[in-house]
Amino acid sequence: MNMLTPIRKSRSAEDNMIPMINIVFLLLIFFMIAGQITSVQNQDIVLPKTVSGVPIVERKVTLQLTEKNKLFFNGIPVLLDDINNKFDALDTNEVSVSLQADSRIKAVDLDKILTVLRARKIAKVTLYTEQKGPE
Amino acid sequence: MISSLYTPKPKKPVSLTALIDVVFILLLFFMLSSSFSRWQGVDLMSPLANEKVSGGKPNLIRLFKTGVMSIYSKPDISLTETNISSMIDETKPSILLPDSDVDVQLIVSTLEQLSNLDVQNLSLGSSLPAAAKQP
Repeated sequence: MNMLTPIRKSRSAEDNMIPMINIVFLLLIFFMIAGQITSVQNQDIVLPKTVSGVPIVERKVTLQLTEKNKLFFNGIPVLLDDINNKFDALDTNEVSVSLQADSRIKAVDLDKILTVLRARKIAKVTLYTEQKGPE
Repeated sequence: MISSLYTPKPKKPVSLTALIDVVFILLLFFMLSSSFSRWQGVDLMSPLANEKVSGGKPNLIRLFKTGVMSIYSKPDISLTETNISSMIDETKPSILLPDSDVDVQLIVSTLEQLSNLDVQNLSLGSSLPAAAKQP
């Protein structure tokens, strides 16, 4: 009777880990394919949402404007009055600008930045937006 | 003696622990650095003050905080999908003038809405003082 019961092999610790490794590998592949490695965005900024848009192209200057009207020039906090000095410090005159503005800021605050850019003859600004998901 | 020389060495099983360590580190890296929100860009054209607008006098579209649009000279008549083609000369460039209390999300949504309605040469103008009476 005892002969009918299968002999149970003792499994080593590594054998027990194989299902876990499989899952970890699957997770790794998922994050590698589905994720998008991006530079760290200012956590205070909630980008406006749009349905359509053009792919982001890296610009020479990235301005960030938070809801509390804190302004960052390529990640460095600046005052609005000092933006011109920052532009002057750049080694080129042809400057392309992208703007990460919080969706909650008012037009009057956005206008202050655009006025400075207009004065520097920069008429085209790429505004960062986030793709609107299905509702 | 000779036979002992040719005896293959017993294969040492490859330890999985080192592999798991590396895979875990890769997994952590991709989990922390990847982002699933898709960024895109919207080109904001902001006309320069001394720029001559080609194509004649532009259509000035006012945007109120409530999301209502109107022709600047006729603030009482709201622009809708049905009457926009009759109210706007589509051969001329159009400039959106948001009230100062309009937020960026509404500006971006309106620009997107107008471009979907085939309003050509659309740009963003300076903000206007907030209307005392919202339509």
